[in-house]
Amino acid sequence: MNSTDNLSNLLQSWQPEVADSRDFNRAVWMRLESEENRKGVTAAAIFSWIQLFARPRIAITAASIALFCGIFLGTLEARSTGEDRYLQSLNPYTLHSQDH
Amino acid sequence: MKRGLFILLGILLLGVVAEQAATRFFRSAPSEWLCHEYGLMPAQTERIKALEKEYGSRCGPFCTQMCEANANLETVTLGSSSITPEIKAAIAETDRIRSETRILMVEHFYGVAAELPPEKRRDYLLKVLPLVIESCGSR
Repeated sequence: MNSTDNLSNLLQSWQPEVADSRDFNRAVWMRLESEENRKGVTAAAIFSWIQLFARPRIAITAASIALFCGIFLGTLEARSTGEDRYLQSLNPYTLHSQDH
Repeated sequence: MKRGLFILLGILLLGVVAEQAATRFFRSAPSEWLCHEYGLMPAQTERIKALEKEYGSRCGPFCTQMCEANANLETVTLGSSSITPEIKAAIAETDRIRSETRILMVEHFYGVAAELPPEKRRDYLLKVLPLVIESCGSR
């Protein structure tokens, strides 16, 4: 019984040292906002060049380059495999499997 | 930013599609590569195509025979624990078919080489002979 009274007295006498609730909340929200802004700025800096493709002139230019490079690489690929495909066509067992 | 991303992905897709389409479009028949590589005239090209057609029709039966001989060799080998006369005969049969096929191939190579310019025949044979002459690795 005596210990319970001591505990009650102690709890009543205790004063939590917490900052003013208004300042505390404001500080937390400011930190959250600054963190979000920082992430947003980093992401925007990294991906800002992607937005360039939304411009019609750049998009058309990039598409033309992609088309040209694709056709060029495809032509090289077709030519480079010519010898291999010829040699493969001479293999009698390959010939037979192609027939069926 | 999403719009730009979608456009970028579309452009990349366009490049890949163009590459695949060009590969298929410009890929010619194997004999056409040969004719282009060795600068053959249209008449020679036609003769090469005729030789290949004949070669294909003569090779087919050998492949069937080889498949049957291999299957037989597998059967007799699995049915025994030591070398038997049947196994020896089955191995000899696969070798016989392989030898006949190789002779046919070399015959075809000579036929094709005869259509090429004389200075390019050796180069052609060096390209195709590994198909019938197994490399020992040291040479």
